[in-house]
Amino acid sequence: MNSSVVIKEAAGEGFLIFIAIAVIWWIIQQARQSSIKEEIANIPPLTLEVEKGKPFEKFKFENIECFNLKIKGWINNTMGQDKIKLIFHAYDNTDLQNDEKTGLPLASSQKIFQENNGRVFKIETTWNTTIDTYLPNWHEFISIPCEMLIPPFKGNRKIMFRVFAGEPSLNSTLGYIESEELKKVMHWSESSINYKFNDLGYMEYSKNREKLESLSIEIAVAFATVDGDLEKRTLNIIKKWIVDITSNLEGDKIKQRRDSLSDVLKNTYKKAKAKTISVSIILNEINDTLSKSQKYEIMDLLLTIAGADDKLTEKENILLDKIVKKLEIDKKVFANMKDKIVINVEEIETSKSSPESIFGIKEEMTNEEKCTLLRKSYSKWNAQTNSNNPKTKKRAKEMVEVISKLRQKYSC
Amino acid sequence: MSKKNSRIVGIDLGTTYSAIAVLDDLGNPEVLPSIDNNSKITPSVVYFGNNDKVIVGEKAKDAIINEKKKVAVEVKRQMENDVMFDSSKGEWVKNEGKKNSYFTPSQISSLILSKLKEYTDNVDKVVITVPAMFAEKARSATIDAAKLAGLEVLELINEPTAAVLHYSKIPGVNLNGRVMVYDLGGGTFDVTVANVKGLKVDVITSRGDKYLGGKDFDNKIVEIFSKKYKKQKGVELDTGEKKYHEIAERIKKILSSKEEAEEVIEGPKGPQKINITRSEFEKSIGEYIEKTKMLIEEVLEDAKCKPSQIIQTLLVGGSTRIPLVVESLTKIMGKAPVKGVNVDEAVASGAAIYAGLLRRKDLNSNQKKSLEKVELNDVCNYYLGTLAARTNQERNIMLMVNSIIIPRNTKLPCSKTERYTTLVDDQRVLECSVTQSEHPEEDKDFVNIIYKGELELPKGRPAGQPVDITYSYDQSGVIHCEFLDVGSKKRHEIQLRPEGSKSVDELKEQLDFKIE
Repeated sequence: MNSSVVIKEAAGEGFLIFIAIAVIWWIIQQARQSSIKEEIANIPPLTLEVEKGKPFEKFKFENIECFNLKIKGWINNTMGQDKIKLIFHAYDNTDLQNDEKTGLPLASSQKIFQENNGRVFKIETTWNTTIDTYLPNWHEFISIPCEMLIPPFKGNRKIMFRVFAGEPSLNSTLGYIESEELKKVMHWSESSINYKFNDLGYMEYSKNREKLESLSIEIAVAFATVDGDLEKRTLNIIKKWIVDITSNLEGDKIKQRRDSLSDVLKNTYKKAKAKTISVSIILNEINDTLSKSQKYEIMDLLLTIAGADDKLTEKENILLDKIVKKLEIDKKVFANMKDKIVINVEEIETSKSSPESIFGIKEEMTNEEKCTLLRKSYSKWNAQTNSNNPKTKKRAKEMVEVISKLRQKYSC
Repeated sequence: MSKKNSRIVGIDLGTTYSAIAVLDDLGNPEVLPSIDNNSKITPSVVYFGNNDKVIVGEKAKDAIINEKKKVAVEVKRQMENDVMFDSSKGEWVKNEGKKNSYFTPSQISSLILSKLKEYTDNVDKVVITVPAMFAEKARSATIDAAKLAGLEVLELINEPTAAVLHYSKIPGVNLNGRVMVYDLGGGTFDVTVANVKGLKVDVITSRGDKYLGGKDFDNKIVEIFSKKYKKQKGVELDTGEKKYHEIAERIKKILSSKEEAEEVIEGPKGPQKINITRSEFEKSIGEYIEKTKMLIEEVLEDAKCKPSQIIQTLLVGGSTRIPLVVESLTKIMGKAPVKGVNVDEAVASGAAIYAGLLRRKDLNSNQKKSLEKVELNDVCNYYLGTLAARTNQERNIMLMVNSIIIPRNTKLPCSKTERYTTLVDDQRVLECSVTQSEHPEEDKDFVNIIYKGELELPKGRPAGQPVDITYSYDQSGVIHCEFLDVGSKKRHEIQLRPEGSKSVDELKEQLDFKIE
């Protein structure tokens, strides 16, 4: 009997303890809920920040100036799906009062930073998420080399980067989210930065594309006639080049453009025959109107012409060097471009008195500079005597002979 | 498995002369004399006679006068080429498959190796020396030649490395500092800088020219007496005639000790006595000496040292007997080179020592003791890299370039990892390429691609997935390459090593000779 009372009493005590625990649990839960609410309230919305500088260390680029994009805050899929898509674009907002609107989108020279069917800058990625996924700290998203972005216009530009986070099926076209796609967007953020673009913008580029093509033909003809008359094979190279560069035009534009460029070719050829063509005037025009990368396009064409007859003549060599100097093209980059031609031509013509032009030796150099330059050229070509390509190997042996003779000439 | 008591052997397979050395019972290298004439060097010359008769060495050289078309010379210079020697015409022609009386460079070299093998018994494993800048193809062909001669190649060792190893072990030579090896042989030139401390040799760097040697000097002499013959007789000599090159070699040797040499040249318009002075000869080889100077400048730059920091310059190779070579070297280095070793035997001797190091467990107690403190550390002679996309900032385009992973002159063994990323969204395949170059080339057209493979990647991933590429290179020349997709842990692994390209049976099929 007593024992049953004890049990009852004990049961009564147990109930009280249970109630106490439940109350404490309830208080803790309330506190936790309020802490979660507070925490949630403190989670910033998706926030994008762009900075200029060295690339983030994890991207292992060389130390080139980059736009570094980092994000933090909510990236959860509010519709409960397990994935979210992030889309990045950039706009030229230079002429806008504020960033509520967007200017023309930036383009990119690199496929990895382009939309599928065009050159508009776009980075797209899909992340696995849950309902409560967020980035508490800054996440270093990507470093984009500044020179890989092309604004509409050159010079000082205000660039606004924008990130959209939305359903995995979210899509953008030509830098913009279509209105029916907007409902798929859950978060977005933007960040602006000023940057000076030295190269031509794409609006200017497309305008001067025609100019580039005409000037390319003019300088090509002028260059090709350096050895005398314009050979048929050189003419064919220029014609083929015209066909290639116009092949991606649409409809009637192909014919119109080809006809127009053929006229340029004919007129320039006439001028060349009449000896009224001026290389320096063409080069000045190139310098005034074309971008750096366009100048390299021209050099590519000139090198193809130089190697067309399987012979790199001394006159061609000298003129190439002059053009490189005048166009302020990087000598090292050009030397690498030229080496490919040097290997493939059957003959490199050098006058016995001056084979120096092949190696970029200039009169104004000191003897020591000449000797060092020749030794470095020897190092390069001697290494190529082990090439698996017979043409390269043959040319390398010839180059090594020429270099050692030049070294003797300069008593190195 | 090596045969019981098989000898510890090193072979110098040279362009003009070859030598074989063994480790004697006390652990010292000994160059073996020819069974024909007791000479310690054997001309690398092969005569293809009638009835499958083959003569190698001095007697083959004698046949040049009367049966020049049947004699193969300077085979080493053809080791990297896909050619065959046509023993009916005496010419190297493009290799178009098996033909009677046509022989590949490895087949002919195997005959030279077989001849050297006869100088001793019980030879099965060897170390063979090659020029520092020998192409992979030529190394592979050398191993084929050895296989064909019934020899297993323990390792190929660079000629100047072998020479410095030998030099450091000469009793009384106790070096402590940087040494330069100047190895000017019959067909190739190598220059090496090594750090030597007692018996420990650390190679720092090597450079070389595969088309520079005594044979080139002979060609110049032939040109000189051809001009002189023309002056006297009105016609030039056929400078390709092997007999004139034999005479030129004789003249060159005379000019090493005398101011002038005289020979009667048998030309198309009868005999003519021709005199050549040392000064004429030296003037003619000036461009070759210039090349050696450039290579010396390069190794000194690579080794980051001045001539004054080189404690000794060691001469190796028969062509270092030419006085102009010594004069030029003395001028550059500021002191005369040492003539501490037999220039003809140093390389083979070093190879035998290296064979001893590789076969320590087969050595007797005296040999073990003799080699116990000998240590050799070599470097990677090439840049090893892979092809990767990189933006050319200047041209604003993305180019496929050679990205170097292991730089030249990295101490062996070594292992290096570089991280790359995938290029495009949903990239399904990673091209795994291994490149080799002697120069730090970025341009993919200027490097040799020694391997190409593919790694399949998981689908549906954005661009920028990390890929780690690890190359490990050991002392024996084995390169292990791993391409790892970090995210999925999928990998592509390969092992590259210098080895013969053909099976022994395949090689033997074309060779059935009685070697004399």
